Amino acid sequence: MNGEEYISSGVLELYVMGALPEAEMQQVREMARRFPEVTQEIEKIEALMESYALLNAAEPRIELKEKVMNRIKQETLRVIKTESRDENVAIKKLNANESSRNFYAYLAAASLALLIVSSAFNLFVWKKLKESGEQLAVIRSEKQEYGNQLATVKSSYDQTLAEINILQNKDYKAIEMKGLPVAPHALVRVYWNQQTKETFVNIADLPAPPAGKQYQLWALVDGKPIDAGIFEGKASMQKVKSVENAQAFAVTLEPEGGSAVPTLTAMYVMGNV
Amino acid sequence: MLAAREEKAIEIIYDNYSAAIFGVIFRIIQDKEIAEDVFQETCIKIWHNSLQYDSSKGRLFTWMINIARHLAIDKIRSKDFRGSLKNQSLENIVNSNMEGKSSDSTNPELVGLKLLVEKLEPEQKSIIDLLYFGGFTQEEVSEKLAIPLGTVKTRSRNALLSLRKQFDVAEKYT
Repeated sequence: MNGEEYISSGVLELYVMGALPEAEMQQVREMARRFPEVTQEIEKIEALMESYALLNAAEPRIELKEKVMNRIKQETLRVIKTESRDENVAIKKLNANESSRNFYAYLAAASLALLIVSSAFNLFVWKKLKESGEQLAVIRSEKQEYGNQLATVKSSYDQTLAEINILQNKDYKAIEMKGLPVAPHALVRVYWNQQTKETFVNIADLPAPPAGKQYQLWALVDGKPIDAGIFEGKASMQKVKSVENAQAFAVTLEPEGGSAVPTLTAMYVMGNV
Repeated sequence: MLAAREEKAIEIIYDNYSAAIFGVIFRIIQDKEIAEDVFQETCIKIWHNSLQYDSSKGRLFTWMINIARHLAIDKIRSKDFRGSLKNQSLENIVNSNMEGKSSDSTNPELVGLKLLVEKLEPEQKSIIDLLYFGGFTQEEVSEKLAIPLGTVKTRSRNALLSLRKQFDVAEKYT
């Protein structure tokens, strides 16, 4: 009889369900050793019967868990006591070595088996923990990134809002300063509040200042330049010093920190009010 | 004497398998109190025999379920059980319907599957239940159902093939 015929005979089903006499059980085991497909079929039937058994799953009462755990603990004590008693008897019989070796072999095997189970479990938990930890780190760094992005967006939004407020506010007067021979294409605007005297500059086109230099705004009153503060070479609306009075505005390139009097040869833009 | 880690390991196994094991025992015994006793015996026996379990000879779950089945079947065949309850006969085993008495905490996910299993030919279902939950040998089944031994084999194979088909159907839809 070959493996296939054996499989279709129905004997394996009876084997898994434990319905065969011992002699036939032996035969099945023998066939399983000889034919891998028989072993495979047995495993399939076992898995099927497991699923069938699971259909009947019913939680035992919760109290039973403690009972079972306690009984297992007691059994452990009892086993160890019995083993030690056997050991004593054995010693009397001058057979000590053999027996105590058995006893310790048993203990070693028992603890090894439990160790394997618990190690497997520990490994499982450890892996899970590690995975969760990694996920948490990723989530945290993403959160940090979003936080930073949000802060950037918020600050640029605030900036834009402030600029829009200035542009829409009728109290602000816009003065266009056009490029001088040093930088013919340059264009910078001054927004000057006629009520509060607050003043802003907004660069439309201005070469980036070289290292160690900074642009400085001047208010010209009766031909005299009055310092209106230094500002940076970036494009956004920048607040400078409040200007009380001015007929014109001009921008010069000065050493970092600004100067007391403008360097007239480095005047980039100028515009009348 | 159990180290905390070992206790934890036993607990894990208990938490994962107790419902399946108790379910099988209850299915066979059909008396809650006796089933609980047998369940405790089963847990202790599984723990005692755990060193003998050989994973190359079969699946852990099958091994545990078989311990439970054998203890439960021994119980219903024991004298004191026969005395206390009426003889657990063919009719009892076959007719004990799965959702009815079996438990108050049945897994709802399984209900659909149960319906599929109920679709098996009664003849097929009864032969599985007699063999698996009744602990009857092939000779006993052949005698009780008045069919030849060979028929017991082919019928149980066909029954399990249909069962497999039902599970496959269920898998497709879950």
